[in-house]
Amino acid sequence: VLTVPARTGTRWATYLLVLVLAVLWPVLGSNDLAIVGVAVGYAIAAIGVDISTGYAGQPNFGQSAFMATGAFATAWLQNTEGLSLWLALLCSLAICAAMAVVLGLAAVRLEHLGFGIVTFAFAFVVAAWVQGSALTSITGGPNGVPAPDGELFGIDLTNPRNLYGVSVVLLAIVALLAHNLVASRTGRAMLTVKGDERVAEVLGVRASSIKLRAFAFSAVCGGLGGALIAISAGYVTPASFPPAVSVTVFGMVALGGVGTITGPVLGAMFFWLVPNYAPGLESKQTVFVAAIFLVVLIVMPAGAFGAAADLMRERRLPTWLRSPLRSRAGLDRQAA
Amino acid sequence: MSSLLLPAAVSGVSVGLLYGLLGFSIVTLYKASATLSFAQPVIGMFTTFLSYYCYSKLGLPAGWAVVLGLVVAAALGAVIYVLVMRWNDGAGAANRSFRTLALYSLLLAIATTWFANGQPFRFPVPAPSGSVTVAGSVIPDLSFVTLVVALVLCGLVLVFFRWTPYGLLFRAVADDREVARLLGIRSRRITAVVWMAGTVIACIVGVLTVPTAFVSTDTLSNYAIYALAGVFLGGLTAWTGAFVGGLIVGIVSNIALVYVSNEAAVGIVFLILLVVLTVRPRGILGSEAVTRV
Repeated sequence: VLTVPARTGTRWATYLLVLVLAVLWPVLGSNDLAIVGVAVGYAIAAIGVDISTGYAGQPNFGQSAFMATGAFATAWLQNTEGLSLWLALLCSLAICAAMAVVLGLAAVRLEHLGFGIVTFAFAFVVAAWVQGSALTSITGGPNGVPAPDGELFGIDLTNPRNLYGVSVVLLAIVALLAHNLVASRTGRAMLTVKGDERVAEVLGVRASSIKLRAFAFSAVCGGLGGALIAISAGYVTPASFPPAVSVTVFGMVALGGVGTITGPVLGAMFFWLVPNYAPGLESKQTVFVAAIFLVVLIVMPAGAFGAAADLMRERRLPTWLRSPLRSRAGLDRQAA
Repeated sequence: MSSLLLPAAVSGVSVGLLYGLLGFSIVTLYKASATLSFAQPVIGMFTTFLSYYCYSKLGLPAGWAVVLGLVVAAALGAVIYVLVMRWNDGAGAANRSFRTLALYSLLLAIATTWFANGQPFRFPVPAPSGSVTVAGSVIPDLSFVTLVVALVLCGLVLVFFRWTPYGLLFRAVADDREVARLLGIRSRRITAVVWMAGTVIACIVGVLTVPTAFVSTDTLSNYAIYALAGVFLGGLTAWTGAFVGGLIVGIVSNIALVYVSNEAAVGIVFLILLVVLTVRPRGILGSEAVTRV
């Protein structure tokens, strides 16, 4: 289904980005740290979407559902059940993974966009339940609940500087795990499934199991990102993660480049930081994000990172810039 | 109990037909251009706002505003095809579906940023306000109007596809795009017409919700899941599947809404969707997919 090839050699670029974020740690003021910290949370969620979409070929259009679950479950387990933060976080990530497996069992039965449809619908289901009155004890009604806070392994997260540091470390861990995953045996199986499910089955890969694992990884990243965003904001309300957020996170992946892991981090930074710092854009953030998302899909399906990597490695202009005279592109690619 | 059940079921049938109509535009687009459109419900909301502006900004009577709104919707459909779908349309089916997702988010963002201020708006679309009492339960006349409009539209669409030569062209493109092109059918023109028709159908669905729900950006938000669930319940490959699925979704969700709550309605529809996908992935009326390996 997905015609954009996945890349596995982007490790250096991701680590460079994380390094830049780490260097910003002592430089930025606490206001800026809070803004960039939210972008880091989105980046973690976006890496998750990229693993299932870009590498296993199963689009995740419902990341907002897992982000909301991660945020509310962590807050509830800590505030009401009295768990310590790391335990609450771990439990809510487990909840996200379990939900992903249940959804995935139905979604694997549909070819092509099966995961896309089920996850898109699921975003609406979670939004309806979070906004409804049945779960008020967990969601706190329209005003929401205070976000989980306090200490993570002895680090005080109410200090924005500490929170930013922890977020960047978590991003580094997720990036490392993601790169190791796609380079592993499971990762190669995921790429085979994305290429052709039947070929994968012939080669002895259990396609549905691989899809489920990729989707569970994706959901866990969503839960972690959602919890971090909630901690940064200081509270979480039913309106924090509407279904449109799923599309925004998917847009981050598409802008940076589907199947690159670096791209989603870049995309998250761009989509969160540009509207927050460009004057007059803040109130129109959603329009800005959606318009760029649409244009990127039309003119460069491989995303910014994909286009740049093509340009550097193969000295090949993106399709939409190439003159019709240079029709040797196919040959160029074979030579490279 | 029974005094609530019958009206809930009847209005369930009429909203179910609306889900079916919206689902039908999704199925037609899927068949004619291999693109699964996530944007239809938001297109419906957006074009309803455009009709409303024909009434509030241009000062037209509400009835004529709806008519002009349908023309504007057709134009918007053409614009969407030319600007969003036509450009670089060889990028693959997944990419085109992603574009409809981006379109969903763009139209929603535009509406919530510029249209939503002061909503819900009153849009006095001519509609009956009376009600009839059947077997001790009150059913508003509007349910019957929606029923009739939806049935007439479904009938027109089915007659068009089944018995007119133009309908045959559409079915040819839907069955096999490549062969249809080889036979000289202008498949891109067909796709453009399908986008225009899909947008007009979405607009009709949106306008039919106005007498009960006013004009607001939230009106059709649940339609996104209900229409999609209806499509996959009935079967994406069956022309009439969307209506069957939409009716089931409409009745079940409406009864759950009346007796329990909105979140229960959404939850039950999603559960039915999961069960159908697990037990019978091709849907109730869908045909077994045959693929050449």
